[in-house]
Amino acid sequence: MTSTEDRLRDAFRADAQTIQPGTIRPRADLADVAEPAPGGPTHGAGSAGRRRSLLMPLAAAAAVVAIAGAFALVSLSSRSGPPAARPWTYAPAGSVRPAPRYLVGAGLTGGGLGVYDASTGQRITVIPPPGSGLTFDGEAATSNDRVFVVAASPQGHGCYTNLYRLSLTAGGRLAGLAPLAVPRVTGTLLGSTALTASASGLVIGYSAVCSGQNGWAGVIRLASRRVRRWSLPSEGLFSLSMSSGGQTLFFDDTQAYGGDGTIRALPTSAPPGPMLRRSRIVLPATSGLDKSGSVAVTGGGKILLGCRETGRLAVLASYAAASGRELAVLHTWRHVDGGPCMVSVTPSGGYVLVSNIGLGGGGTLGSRLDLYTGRVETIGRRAGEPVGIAW
Amino acid sequence: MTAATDPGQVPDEAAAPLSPTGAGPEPVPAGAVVQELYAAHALTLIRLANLLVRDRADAEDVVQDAFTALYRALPRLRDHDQLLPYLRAAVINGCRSALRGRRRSAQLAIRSWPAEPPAAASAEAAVLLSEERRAVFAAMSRLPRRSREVLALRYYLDLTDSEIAETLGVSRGTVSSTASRAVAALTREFRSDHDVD
Repeated sequence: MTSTEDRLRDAFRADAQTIQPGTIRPRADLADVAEPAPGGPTHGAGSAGRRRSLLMPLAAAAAVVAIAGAFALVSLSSRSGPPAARPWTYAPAGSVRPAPRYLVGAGLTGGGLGVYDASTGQRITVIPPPGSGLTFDGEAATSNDRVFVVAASPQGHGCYTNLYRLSLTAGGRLAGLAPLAVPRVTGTLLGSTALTASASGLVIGYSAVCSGQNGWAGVIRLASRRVRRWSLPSEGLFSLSMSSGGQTLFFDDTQAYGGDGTIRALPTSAPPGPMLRRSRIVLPATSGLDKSGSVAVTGGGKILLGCRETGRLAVLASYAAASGRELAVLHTWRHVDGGPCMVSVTPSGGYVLVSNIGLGGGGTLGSRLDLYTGRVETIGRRAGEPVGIAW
Repeated sequence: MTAATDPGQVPDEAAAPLSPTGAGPEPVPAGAVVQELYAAHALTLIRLANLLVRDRADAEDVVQDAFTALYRALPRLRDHDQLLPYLRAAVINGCRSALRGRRRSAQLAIRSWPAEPPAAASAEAAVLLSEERRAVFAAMSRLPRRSREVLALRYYLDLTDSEIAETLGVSRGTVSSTASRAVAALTREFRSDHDVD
């Protein structure tokens, strides 16, 4: 070796050679995850890092299960059998509502918005962007399963987002796309799940950012056309979920680079200012929820749904929004590649779609849960379809 | 288009479409873009992360999280030339988070940037990392974080100063001066070792 630079190159090259392609952590493929989960949790060859990071959440989860043993509801969360086989009393209050017929997802390269059959997952149509240079980048459902609030922003030519009311025909095709009569949103959404709406669609929440700035979250009330914003210490939020009445925003504080996955709640009536200071912690980072995934709120803002990993298994669990206490395990399946788990609950609270993505050649798998009956169906979706879904 | 203020209304089935109904070309799925990037760059990025966090499992986690973040951010990253810089920046930030988390743990505090390869390294890895190479990592462990990042990006990925500046979010001049100081510090340390011998 003749110089420091040569020694650095040599050392780096040698260090790199200690990691060969065949030795990287095995990654599941779509066929693997498409199999139903086995009767009980199994623990595959997760990395040491993952196992270490899961110690705290697993310990916390174990404590929750132990403490809550006396409560009948929590007793339903026994993991001794597949979810559909156990007694089911998790139905939302009120009469049984039919499942929505359509899924809508932004994020297709090309800027279109995908509309899918909610029963089969098959794509019905792709709605082109609403204008030249615009891209659909957010979607939120309303209690009318043919009406959605969707967002579109320009492709690198400006920092704003337009909001639209999307209506579908009975066959799931485009019936109308009308701009909402609200002030233009400053900034672009950080992800398609950074848009949410109340069941009526009259209160809309979002998180947006302009390049090089810190982000913010906002709530728009269509009735009054008023906008209220809160500031964030980083780029913005990936995941927002609004209670059906529009009173509370729930969010995962994971931001573009980092964040610890704490789940927080912010009253939409809170005064403008720092969002983290105005909000309260619902679930600490140690809850083990998938920090890169999304959470959803249901039960009139009283129940949170989110995913966590347990070895090769992903678990969809419900939590009390008031206390953060885990209430029940709703579904268990084999996760793909550690990709983010996306949770989408219908505004009626009766149905949930969970999906995660594969990064290493895997695909998108959707599981559709009927909370009235506990029935779980796998929705076949093509690899690469958007996972941020509203229905 | 007409403005609407109540999206809760049932649309008129016969309403005229406001824009064409999906007759355009088939869009390329976002996931396919990420998978293509993963196939091309994951190994290199894991090796880069391993250089910085000195822990194989953490390195794999960091890179996986970076691709996850990319997938989520893809809709707003319209310039696909920016995807790889985004990934590099996400990996660097992930490494910083991993090291910060490690520092927070009292049990692992002394491993904030260990010079030794991970305990599970193979015999082959031990051979590859000869004493001389270990000395390089030991010396690097005493450098500031940014210096280690600049050296890894410059001498492992062979990035230009402009590319390093973009990845780290600093000026090109900062990259240049940081690299010069780091190399000078290492040179002094290597000479000192040699003098002792």
